[in-house]
Amino acid sequence: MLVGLPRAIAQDDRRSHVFLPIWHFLRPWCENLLAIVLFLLAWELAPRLGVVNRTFLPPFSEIVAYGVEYALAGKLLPHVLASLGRAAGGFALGILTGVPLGILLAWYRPLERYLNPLLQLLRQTNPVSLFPVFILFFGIGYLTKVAIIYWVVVWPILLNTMSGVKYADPALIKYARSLRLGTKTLFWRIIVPSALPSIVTGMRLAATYSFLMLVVSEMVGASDGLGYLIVNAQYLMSIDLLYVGVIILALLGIAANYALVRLERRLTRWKVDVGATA
Amino acid sequence: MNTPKLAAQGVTKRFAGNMARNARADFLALDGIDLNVDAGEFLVIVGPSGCGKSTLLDILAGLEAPSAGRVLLDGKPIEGPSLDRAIVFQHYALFPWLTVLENVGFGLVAKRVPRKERLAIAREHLTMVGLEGFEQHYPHELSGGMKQRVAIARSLAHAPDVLLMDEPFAALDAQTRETLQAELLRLWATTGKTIVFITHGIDEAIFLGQRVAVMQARPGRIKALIDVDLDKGDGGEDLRGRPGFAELRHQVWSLLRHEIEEADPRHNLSRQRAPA
Repeated sequence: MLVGLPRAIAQDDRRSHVFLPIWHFLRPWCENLLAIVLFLLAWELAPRLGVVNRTFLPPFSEIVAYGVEYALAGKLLPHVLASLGRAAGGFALGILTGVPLGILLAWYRPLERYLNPLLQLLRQTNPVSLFPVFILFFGIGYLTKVAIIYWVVVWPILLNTMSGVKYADPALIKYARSLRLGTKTLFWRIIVPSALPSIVTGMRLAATYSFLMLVVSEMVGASDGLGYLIVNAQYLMSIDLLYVGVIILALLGIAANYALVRLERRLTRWKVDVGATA
Repeated sequence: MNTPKLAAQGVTKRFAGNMARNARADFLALDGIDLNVDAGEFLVIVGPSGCGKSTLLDILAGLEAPSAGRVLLDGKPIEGPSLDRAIVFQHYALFPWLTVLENVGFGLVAKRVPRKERLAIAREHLTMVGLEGFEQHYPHELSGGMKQRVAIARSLAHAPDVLLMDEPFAALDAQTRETLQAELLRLWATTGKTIVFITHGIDEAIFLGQRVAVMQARPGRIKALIDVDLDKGDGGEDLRGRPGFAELRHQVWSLLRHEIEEADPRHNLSRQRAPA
């Protein structure tokens, strides 16, 4: 935290009271953006000053200009939509199977005892090494990409759901028992709300992994999508386009994380400190 | 003689010991507890830690089954927990994701009371414990004393006959505890509930109880039942300063002193060494 700076400014501004409120409003933004602005400035200047080869790293403004032009020509959107469709498919499948399975495993302990070793084994299987296997089964199509994304997405969701259900406060369960609540009521009114924050945390991890595997899958076998765009741009030595793809992927990742953080805040309004930051 | 509201008859609880870890095979937590609580009575059970008083409360609540003996409510054996016996826990056990009002109304979910009615009853009980205006707060926004008020309101909201209180004020600071003790007496006087209250505090036991059951440990037994013949009035005057209070306090303390020494490992050591 910048402790010295605000104090110095506060002292300076005893005479001009106009500046202070504006600074209070702007300060968080300045703090957040300072490092990013410096980074982009370095990116802009390094190729222009000849510090790096401009063929390999064009100035940032050129890439933005190229990206806008490319997008306005309507060429960018199909790739973005193709990628989002794949990521969303794998992600949705991960939630639809990971959450119920996690609840089931945490709820019926014997089931967990028998299944856990297998799950640990599968979890440790490298997803990239499984890619040829998925191609064998599903061919080079939508399904393969969804399957490989699913494979990395399902684990954090499953494990976080399990721990969320398992670590529900025993005092609350004891209270519920004293009310003689039915299993269904206990489940929906106590277990699910207890586990929700943990499930959303799993979803945030899963979102990060899903973008990772998305790009890997599109680099190996695809004719559209952002991963394809990047690899193809490299083959064609269209370096501007390559960086456009990289930046768009980063922005999508930030947007997904932001959406999940918002969801987390909404679901855990009752907590003292959310502890989650964008 | 009329039937007591709540009765324990020869309640015994034996925990199976872990043979691998220690030589003792079984642990006798409660040994033949007989206890009658009349309707509208305020009974306090006082004892050293580890004397099985919480286990006894769990059995009275129906959360645990006794190894032998039985618990009767209005002369009928209990079958597990029920809404006619509400528990107030030491650590509140409030739902962090529900507002204060929803927490108080939660017990009515089990009674299948519609939501609107639930909240109306909850609001009424929140007023009873002096927390109007905090309906929409979440538990983490409240102090320990306020949380316990919410928990008490919650336990009263589903209209139980008996309140079972498991060291409810033990986690509070001294001043808050005294305030809540006085308020509990007031609530007891206005609602006429039967209360079984567990504590390890002698002062608390005498201040609250009409009768005090002194428990001993290993095995858990009721050592003495003491009538508290103090006119508690409206709780406004300094009850603790009266000579009668001090006498009772000393009586309970003398009964417990031996127990506390027994529970203290240093005393056990010195006694074991003595013959050698």
